[in-house]
Amino acid sequence: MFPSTLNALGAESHLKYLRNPDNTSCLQCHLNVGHYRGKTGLTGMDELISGSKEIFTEPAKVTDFKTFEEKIPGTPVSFKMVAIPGGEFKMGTPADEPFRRNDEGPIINVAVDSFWIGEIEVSWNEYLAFFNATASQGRKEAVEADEETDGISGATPPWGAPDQGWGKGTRPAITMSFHGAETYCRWLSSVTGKKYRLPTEAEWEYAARGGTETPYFFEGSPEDYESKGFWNKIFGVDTTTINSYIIYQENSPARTQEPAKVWSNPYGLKNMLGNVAEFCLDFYDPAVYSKYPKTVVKNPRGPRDGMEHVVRGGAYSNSAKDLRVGRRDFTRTKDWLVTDPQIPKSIWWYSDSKNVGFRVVCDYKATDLNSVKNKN
Amino acid sequence: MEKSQLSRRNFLGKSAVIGAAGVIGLNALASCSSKTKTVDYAFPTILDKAPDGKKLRAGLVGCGNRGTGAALNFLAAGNDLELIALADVFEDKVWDCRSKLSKQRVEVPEANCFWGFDSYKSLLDVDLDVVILATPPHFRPAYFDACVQAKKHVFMEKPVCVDPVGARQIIATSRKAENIGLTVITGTQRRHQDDYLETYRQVASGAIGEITSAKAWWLQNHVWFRTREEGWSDMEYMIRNWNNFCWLCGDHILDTHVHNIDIINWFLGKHPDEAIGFGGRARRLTGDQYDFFSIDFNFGNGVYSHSMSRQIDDCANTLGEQINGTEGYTNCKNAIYNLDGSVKWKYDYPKDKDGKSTEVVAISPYIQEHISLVTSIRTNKSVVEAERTAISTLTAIMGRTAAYTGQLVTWDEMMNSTVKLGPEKYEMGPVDKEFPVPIPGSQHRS
Repeated sequence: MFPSTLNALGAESHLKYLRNPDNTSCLQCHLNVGHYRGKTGLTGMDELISGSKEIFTEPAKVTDFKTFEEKIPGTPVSFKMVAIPGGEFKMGTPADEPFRRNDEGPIINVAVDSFWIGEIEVSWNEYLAFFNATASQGRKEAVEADEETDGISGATPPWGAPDQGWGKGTRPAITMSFHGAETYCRWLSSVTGKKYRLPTEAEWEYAARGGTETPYFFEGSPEDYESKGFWNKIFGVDTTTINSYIIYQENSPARTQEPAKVWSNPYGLKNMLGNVAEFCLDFYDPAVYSKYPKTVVKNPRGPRDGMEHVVRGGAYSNSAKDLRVGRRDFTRTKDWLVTDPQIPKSIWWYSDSKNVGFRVVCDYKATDLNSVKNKN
Repeated sequence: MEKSQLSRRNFLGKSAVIGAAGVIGLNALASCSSKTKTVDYAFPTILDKAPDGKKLRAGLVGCGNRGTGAALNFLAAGNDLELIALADVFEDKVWDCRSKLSKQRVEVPEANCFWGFDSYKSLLDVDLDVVILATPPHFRPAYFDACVQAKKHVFMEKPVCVDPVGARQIIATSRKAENIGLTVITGTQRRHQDDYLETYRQVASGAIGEITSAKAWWLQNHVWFRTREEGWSDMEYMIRNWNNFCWLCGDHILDTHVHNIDIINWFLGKHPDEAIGFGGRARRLTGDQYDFFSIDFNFGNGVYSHSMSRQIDDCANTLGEQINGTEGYTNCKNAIYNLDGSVKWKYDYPKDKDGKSTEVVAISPYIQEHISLVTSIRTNKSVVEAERTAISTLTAIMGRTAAYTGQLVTWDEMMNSTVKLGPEKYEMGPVDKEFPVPIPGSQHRS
């Protein structure tokens, strides 16, 4: 910690760290460890509000099972929720799919109910609306989030710039913890009067496939794209298709991008397979598919308990093989907090994960809509 | 009674038990020192002379009287020790030092004599093993760091800094030095005196019971000062009169009293948590410092140390330390007393030819510390005293701050303080800064 060439600022900072590791982050100086700490804090909402945009006073009213634009009251933030009609599909990856991993099978028949899902991954605009409304000052308040009351204690201020300095706006929010994502959903539910949550793994895959059964929802084989990713630099092989649908290693470059840059999948969803990976509600079990009944599984919810949660979809940092729609991944809580120098480590922000975000699902129950209708 | 009879061997047996309980180390970084108390028994071995070994070449930065003295002390520590470079802000100081050394038959090559604010950098370019830092303490943190970056062993005088920022800089550089295995000795020569060391052993093994209070005092006549001469710029004047400007000297509570404070911290095994105190100025003619300080250092758990320092002529002037315990008290230097005042133990000084105690240790402690330095280098047993001396210096700074401000000052405040004394730039010429004498509190209203 004290190399002979350490300068005065470094020496001061390291002593400060030794004295008070809880409140001194390595990231304040070592930008390449975990978060980028630029001068940008999480104050984007002020700029957003000071713009000429309309401030919504009410959430969207939903009377039909149709795609709608949700509005976050008290903010100019809105986002599209795409209606996904329920149905049956084959979940998992065929045994012969290139780059398939063991946890992707066996294929099961799954039926899911209708739901709405965010057209895009939860953006910084959306997540900051939550952060600004609920941010807590200190660690204690954060832990005491009281589920019994309406009050939601949100995230503590993050160390550094969790957007890594890449920009916020409609880029997907990243580095929030799974707990942060779930708390966001609870908060969004409370301000919109709807039932928002993370998608189940089955809902996620159903929405991502958009009725397709191929490795991607667009044409092409993982083998080709994986090799093309390399060969096209030499031979100029065409990767137009994959490039137009997702942000990944070959076109990102090494950072998240705005969703407007890509085309939608058959359901109208953007970047299900790229930009950032996404939290799902289920606990992760590599063998869970083989544990379900062999009949049609209705609304599977994964194992009853576990340590880590399912993460689905590729990210800007992945190559083609990891963008396959059936590919499964999971949270790595310990690894993602390894450089967080606080004790206890943050429950709100991961220090070492910057390619995972999430997408929200809104529950659809026909009866709820009727009651809304009646009220109106 | 048994405790008073402890031999060194008995002590080691006892201290091993203390050691098993865990020694954390006197640590400036622990926010509450009262929870940790350390017993220090990594003592220097008291040798008459450093062992022979590879030739060590030293350079001296700060060519005043103490610097010249320290250089000679270094040369007296053993065989094959050379002084081959000099640096000072002032050219005249360099030549003056060189000629003094020459009278002692120490010849420093003219080419290795440097002056100016950057002269220490030129000195570091000379092929040296050891650098002796004896400039006004203000410059110590930066110079020390430069020495360690250049991978030189260092002897530096106390105090090691004048402000909290400097103290932390010393601590950080100290850790750098430890990392690369350098040796750093800091001019707290009491810690190299066998009488103090033996007394420490007595106290650590329980000779006075549990420590209940302490006091430390350095009360002396006025020290040297320079009045301003025609043609001296602000900067030249202040540096030539450095012992009277707080930004250069740290005030005498650091400059001299830090010795006593260091002893109290050492014996108590911790630094104080906070200080309240006062001081003032009645007799001084130059500079911006106080004449006297009286500080109450709180070591926690009801243990306090009273620290007095004064530089005024024709007063009851004396200096020393005392530590009181449940079973006796000590002067820290050479005696343990019972509660009734009778002597329980006394250090056995060498005897003169008439068989009478000399009352002094055989080797001058100012040479002894250089023997420790050279021994440490030649036996490859790195010793770095800088951090503990930074802690003692910061303790004195805490006391000084308490007196200057009139406020209760805590260790945490010191460790977080951004106070850095002195002008922004070092260059001879006018200094656009006021140096008022601090006045605590507020004016009475009539």
